[in-house]
Amino acid sequence: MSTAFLTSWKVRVGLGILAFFCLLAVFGPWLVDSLLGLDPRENDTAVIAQPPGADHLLGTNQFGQDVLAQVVAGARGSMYVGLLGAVVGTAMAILIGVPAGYYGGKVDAGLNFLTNLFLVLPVLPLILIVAGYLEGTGITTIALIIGFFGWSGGARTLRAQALSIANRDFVRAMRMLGERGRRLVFAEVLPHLTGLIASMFLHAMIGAVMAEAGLAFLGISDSSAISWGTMIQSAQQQSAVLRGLWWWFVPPGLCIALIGTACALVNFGVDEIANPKLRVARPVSARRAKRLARTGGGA
Amino acid sequence: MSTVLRDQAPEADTPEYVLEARDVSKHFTVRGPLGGTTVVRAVEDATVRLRPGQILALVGESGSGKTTLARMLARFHEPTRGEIVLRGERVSGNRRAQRAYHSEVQLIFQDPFGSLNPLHRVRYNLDRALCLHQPHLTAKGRETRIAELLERVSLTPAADYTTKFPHELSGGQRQRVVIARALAVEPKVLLGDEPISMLDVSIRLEMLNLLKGLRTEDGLALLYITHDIASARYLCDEIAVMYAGQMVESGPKEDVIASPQHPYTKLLIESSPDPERGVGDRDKLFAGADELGEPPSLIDPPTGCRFHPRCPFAMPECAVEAPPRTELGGGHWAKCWLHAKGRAGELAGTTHAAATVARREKLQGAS
Repeated sequence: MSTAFLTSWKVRVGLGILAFFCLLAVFGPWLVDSLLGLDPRENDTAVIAQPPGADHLLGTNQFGQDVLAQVVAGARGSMYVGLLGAVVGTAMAILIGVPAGYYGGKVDAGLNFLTNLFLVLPVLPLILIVAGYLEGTGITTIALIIGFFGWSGGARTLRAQALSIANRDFVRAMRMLGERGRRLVFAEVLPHLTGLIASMFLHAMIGAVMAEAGLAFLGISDSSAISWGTMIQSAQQQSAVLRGLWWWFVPPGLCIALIGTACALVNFGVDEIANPKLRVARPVSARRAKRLARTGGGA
Repeated sequence: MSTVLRDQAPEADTPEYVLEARDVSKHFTVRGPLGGTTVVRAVEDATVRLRPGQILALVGESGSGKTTLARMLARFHEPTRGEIVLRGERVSGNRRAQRAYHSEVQLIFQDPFGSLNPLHRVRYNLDRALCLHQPHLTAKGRETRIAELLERVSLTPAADYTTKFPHELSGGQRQRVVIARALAVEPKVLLGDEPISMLDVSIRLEMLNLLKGLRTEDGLALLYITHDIASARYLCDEIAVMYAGQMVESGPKEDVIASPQHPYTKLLIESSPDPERGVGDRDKLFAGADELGEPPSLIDPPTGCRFHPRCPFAMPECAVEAPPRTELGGGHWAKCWLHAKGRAGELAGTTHAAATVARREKLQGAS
């Protein structure tokens, strides 16, 4: 399965981009500091709002901070929020959706009620209120809030899938063998949902990165933390668009778009595994089929 | 029914039954779209008794309640009425009792493609069964036991099969793995819910021989559910026939097949293909085959004998009252009014299809 998964160019490109950003998030700030000697927070009043040049590869912003250093530091912040938000959201979706579908009855009624409740809650306004209420909090809290309010759709999907799998013969057979409930859920049912969960996780990650950017843009974020969202927000506050300081807001925006694209590309690959109908013929097999048809026609 | 049990009591004490279903019924409540409920009487007052080293075949057409009965015996459904008795003790519904029950009774599902988790290797399936039921075994002990089990079901060399995923195995091999998994528990009773019906015809015989071997060598009691009377004849010692949720006839296999004492059994036996039957007889034999009718609805079953709308021998009382059970000696019994009315001889003299044609002509002549 794993090798088949990697043969798709979409998955390769998507994973490549994601890997690049992960590496950037982990090692980037250190590299920028040691190789270029730049500090994302340092205000150099000599160079204010400079366009990209030799000293500052991506220019500087209104406060004389280096945009490249900020983008790299922002990658760490945004990827952290994205991953943590997605982990929290997906974990909650699994812990609530799968048991609901598997156990059914009263457990299902309770958990499903909770899911429906979260499903109809207006999430963004609620995040605004909660984030505003938990004032002065760090980037971790933002990630947790995003995850906590973003699990319901996934739980719904997982519940439906678990419901169908729980009634299959192999689960019955293992139950008859004396396998206990928790193990049945996690060893028999859950592995069938990995494709779905992987795709949900990627979806949640894009969602969390976007949500963080959106919240930061609205000013609900830790102002001292650097993320792509806070960069865009401060660019907006300093009217960077009107003043034509494109190098200030384009790089972080592009990074967000790239992460979204990468997740979507990997998702396509996951979908192709889950639904073979979506699979396109690989170029090699297509060429071989054509050649066979040609020689067959000639003979 | 209670009178019947009393009749049987002296006989029932002598042989040691390992698993019994006593007068079990299962009614399913189905909720309609408008909130109304209907009751499906899937099984009514069925009695099944299994002896160690004996194979009982449960025969009947689709929808006659065979699988529901097997699932009650496997404790997937709680009987609506009646009781399941294991070694003379009534089994209770709590979870621990259920686990103990399943260490003695295992069900083999009909579909070997559905009863193995496609994500687990053969080794995992057997290993889990051993972990749960033979906790004293060490990892090494389990490994040798897995090899033994695979050899028991003729999957040799065992080492080739332990690391395989279900999709790498054929249907017959999967069903062998399923049987090996059931055997890992070291059960006393195996319930086979049409264990060969999803397999290729070419490997059915091997499967039947495997089941036969388990019976003779390991002394397992086996309930073999099928709609194929030929395989029942090959494998089993006794046959019980079910129709529309009720048992209609039961007895030693040769008696039942050679001289069926219920019109439905006769229909079943005659509708199974027999290569020895001459080609010339075919037209005569199947003359009435297209008017044999269909099994009745279990929501609103026919009154009296449930077979009477399809029965060429039906009498007025058949539609009114359920027929009594008639003992025919040697453990063979049938529930049919023909015996009570002394018309049993008619059954042997004709075929089901011929009787149907004769009845139609008679009715047409009368009208």
